[in-house]
Amino acid sequence: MTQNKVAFVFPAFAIGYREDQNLLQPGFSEILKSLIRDASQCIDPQLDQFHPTACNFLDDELRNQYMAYIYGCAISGFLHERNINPHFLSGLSMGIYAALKESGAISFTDGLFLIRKAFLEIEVVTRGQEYTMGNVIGLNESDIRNLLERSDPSTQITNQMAEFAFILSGKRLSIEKVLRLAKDEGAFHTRILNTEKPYHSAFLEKTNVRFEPFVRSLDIKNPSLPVLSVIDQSQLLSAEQVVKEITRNLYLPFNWYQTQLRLQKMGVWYFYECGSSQNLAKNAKFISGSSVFLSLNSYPS
Amino acid sequence: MARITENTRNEVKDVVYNFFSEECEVEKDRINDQTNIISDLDGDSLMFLELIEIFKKKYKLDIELKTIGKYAVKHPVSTIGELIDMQLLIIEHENRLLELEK
Repeated sequence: MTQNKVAFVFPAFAIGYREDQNLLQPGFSEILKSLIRDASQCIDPQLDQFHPTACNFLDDELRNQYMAYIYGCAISGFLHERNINPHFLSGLSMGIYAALKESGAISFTDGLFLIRKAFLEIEVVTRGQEYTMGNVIGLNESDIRNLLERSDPSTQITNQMAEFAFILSGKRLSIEKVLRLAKDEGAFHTRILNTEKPYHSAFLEKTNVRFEPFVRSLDIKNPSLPVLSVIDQSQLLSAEQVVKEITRNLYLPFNWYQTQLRLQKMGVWYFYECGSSQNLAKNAKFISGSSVFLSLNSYPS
Repeated sequence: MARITENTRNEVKDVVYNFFSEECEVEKDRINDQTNIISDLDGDSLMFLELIEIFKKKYKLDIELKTIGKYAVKHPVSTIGELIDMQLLIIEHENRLLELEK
């Protein structure tokens, strides 16, 4: 297969912003500001206060997700203006909403409503228990599964980022314990993530009860471009598949590593990371295969 | 067990300097063996991992990442010079790295 296809990929959260973004990519700020204004009018007036360094909402989980979504939409719009158009889309974790917006399956405002509803439903089902997520780099899956069996089997591997990079979700004390064990086992790097939610784990399965009816109440259309599921790497082509994916995305583990490999097999050569940082581009260095991964700082002008 | 020659040392040094210069967007002549990877270059453990992958391919090394991880916990690396020394030990001893402890 000829490797000449383009994929836009959308990260879940923002971990930082560059103040000089508009200098690097002239015109981007105008698109971003316009979407922030729309979002502040329909979902949260505080978003209008956004500033890359002075008020970036990095420690505010819900607003961080709003901003990651807004950035994703702004960047894809910016790329379209430069005649860069994708063949495939995929969204990592909560990045699914920006991918679906880009595919035309949901509107910009419905994406924001979905983020808020998912967040609130997750709050309801996790009330009274401290949860978090952590990452482990340098061990393989079997090593980690052994550690989980020895500590707390309710802790789950909820994402594989690369051959030796995994994300775990579970109760905070259990995650802390597993990360300590992982270090003893020879992990290069472990870290508690900046979240109090066990995203993509069975702890969130009960969100289904109220989240799915909400999703079904929205005007969801067939995607105009294939969106690749990060859960099973299938192509989402119909509105019904989109509804199911949005719902199960909250409580099923996913695999970014396999998703990127699958996109490569489907002929994707250029990956455009539609987010404020370069996390996916950095991670791509640990995934075999020849492809070009571009982030906002490295887009051709 | 590979024999470490002056040539190997120079090769490793060259790869490490070039790698950090590119990754951290720092002029190569601003890096020396005393440069602190985290505080001076804003480096991270992912970079360390990436370098190991580069050397694994370059020297066809038979070593598990967790073996290096276990060694690194007891022998933490903070400067470029220390990192080069560790890479040379990895190349020399591969999966027998932990036997150096005994």
